[in-house]
Amino acid sequence: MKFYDLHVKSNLSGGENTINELVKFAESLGYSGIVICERYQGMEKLNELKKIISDLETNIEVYSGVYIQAKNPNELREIISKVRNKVLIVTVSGGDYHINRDACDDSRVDVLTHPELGRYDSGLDQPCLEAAARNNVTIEINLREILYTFRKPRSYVFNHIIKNIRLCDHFKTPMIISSGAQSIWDMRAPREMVSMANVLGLDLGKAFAAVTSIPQQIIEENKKTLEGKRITEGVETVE
Amino acid sequence: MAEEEKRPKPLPSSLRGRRRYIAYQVISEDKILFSDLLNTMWHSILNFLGESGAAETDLMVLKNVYEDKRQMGIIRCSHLSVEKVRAALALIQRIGDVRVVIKVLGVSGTVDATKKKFFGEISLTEFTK
Repeated sequence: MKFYDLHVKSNLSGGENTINELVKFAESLGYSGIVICERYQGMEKLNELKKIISDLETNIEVYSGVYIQAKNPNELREIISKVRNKVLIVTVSGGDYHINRDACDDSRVDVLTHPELGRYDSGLDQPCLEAAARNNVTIEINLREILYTFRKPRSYVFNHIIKNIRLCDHFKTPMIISSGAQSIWDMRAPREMVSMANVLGLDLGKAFAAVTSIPQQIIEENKKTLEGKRITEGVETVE
Repeated sequence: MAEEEKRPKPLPSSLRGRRRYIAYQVISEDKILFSDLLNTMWHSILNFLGESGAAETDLMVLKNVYEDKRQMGIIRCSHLSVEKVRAALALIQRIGDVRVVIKVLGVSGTVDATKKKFFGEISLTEFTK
């Protein structure tokens, strides 16, 4: 079984460890692949990230991704159109309802991370989740959000995540679990992530899929699109 | 004889609770003490599951099997609460000021099997086979 973590930050955008250290630690925890998701700070930084990743010598798969923190939907769309053809995974930082809604409506987005961040509700409603299911936008459970809150705020975070899990289950929206790690000490073994999702209400089978088959499917489809093999949904060039 | 009378008789196996043994390894910046680890584990489990939830797990952190050198040990819990205990262990970030990651090596049904499977322990009877 291949395990993936689609959201890890390195020292290129505020993280603590280098990509090499993160990759080695992920390998020791049992991951088959990770995505280094850097905060969008211009195209030069992204090119630098891609160059570092291409020079790496590892036993696991390492991919480039971008983490977009936009102030409004217009800015979000602008950044997505710039980066979509450059990186494998496009992750949008949720929290603001309009951003959540716009990310769910945009089929170019792969992952909407922590839609409940800093909110008094779960941040997602029926139109959002239906659109996400239609556009294949995955909702992410971010472990770092849980790790860095305590007592009452943590119980609120749990409450919102439980609600989102229940809603995603109902609307058949795909879900993944990621560490959102900014250092190696924020990373957890994939089986522990499965346990966490299971305790929060996801079935064990779906919790496994959230770290195995769903991330793998996103990576494979995006690889084909970047290579130009996949034209649109259901249309591919076969050799 | 007097010592034996202090303890209740062991229950028949059908009435004993079903247990699982979780083998773990502590990956840390610095060396840690078992007493600190024990306190942190209980703190995390009580915070995450509450007092009644922690009671249902039938938890015991085994002291005599803890390997100080490799920082590996075993936790005993009920068979229904393995996932909860794993999740609570995943929430541990620090022991004192030392940053840690607790990695679960696996789950087994007896202490001996856990030692053999995950600690690489070999018993003398295996040489006779």
